[in-house]
Amino acid sequence: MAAEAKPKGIDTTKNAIPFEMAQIPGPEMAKTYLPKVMGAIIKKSKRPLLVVGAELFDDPVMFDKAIEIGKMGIPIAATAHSVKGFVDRGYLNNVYQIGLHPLTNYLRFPDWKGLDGQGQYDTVIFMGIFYKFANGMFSTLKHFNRDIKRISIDRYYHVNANMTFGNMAFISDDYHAAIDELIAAMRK
Amino acid sequence: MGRADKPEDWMVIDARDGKMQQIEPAPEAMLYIAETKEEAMLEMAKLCLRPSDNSMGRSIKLTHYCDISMKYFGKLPDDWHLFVRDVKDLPLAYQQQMMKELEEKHGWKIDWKAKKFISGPLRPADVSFDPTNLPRKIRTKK
Repeated sequence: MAAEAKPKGIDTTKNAIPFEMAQIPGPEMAKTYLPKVMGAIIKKSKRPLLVVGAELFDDPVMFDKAIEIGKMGIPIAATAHSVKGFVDRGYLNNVYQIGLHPLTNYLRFPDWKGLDGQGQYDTVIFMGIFYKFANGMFSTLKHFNRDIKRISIDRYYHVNANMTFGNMAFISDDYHAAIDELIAAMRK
Repeated sequence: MGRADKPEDWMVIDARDGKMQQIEPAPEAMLYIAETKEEAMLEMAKLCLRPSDNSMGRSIKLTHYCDISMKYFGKLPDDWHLFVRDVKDLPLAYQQQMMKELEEKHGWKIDWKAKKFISGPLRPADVSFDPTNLPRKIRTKK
């Protein structure tokens, strides 16, 4: 019997059901991708922004992973009080403290100059943000600025993103491995 | 939600003489959604800042804003310098540190002997400044 073709590494495409029960926002819903594909797409984008939230405090190893991504030249928007995690680790290069609500408001406008004054972003990558809040903000971007690619590298299936992982909320080890794969793909 | 990055959005009328005046982006939002209680606390302190504050009021409010930020965020907020108009506005606990930062990071010119700003602030401190958006509130037109 021929062996089943399995993708190498963690399969983040399975379990693509809304994290919140019965949350079907319309005909346009997120697609799940493998970490290496997501990593390659983030690497290709011209003006990416990593947006991290306070859920990283529940899983502090994620701060180190966010810093690894930040060191690759991607600016980090530290929402809520997540900036404290970066202060504690002594990494403040390219880290901007801003609330997710004002940040999303700015992202709506094509004439916004960005956190560093270099221009509007073309990709936003959400990580470690309270699900319902991130979902609302993804929905805002989905409806009010179609030029920005919405990527979620959180452990939830985010229905309003463009690209997301499947639900991995209860399998932390797989999630960590997926983020490691994504970082490795970005390094290539 | 306001656009703090657009200075033209933050022009008000000085009701004393009808002149237009640039102000700091305060209060920035009419409605704000915070992700955590720490963020809510910081934003509450920030939204207390008003254009018509006198130096003592601004100093107390900035102290509160900076203290909360230091306690829960581990650093001073990125935008504290926008709300400084005079040396007297600075929180006493951070005065020296902030004056150095204003000079080095934000390019303000400071007379260290007289402890005064030569240039830098968005607008000068003016105790009797009376901001309004309503032209009918203008008392005497110059």
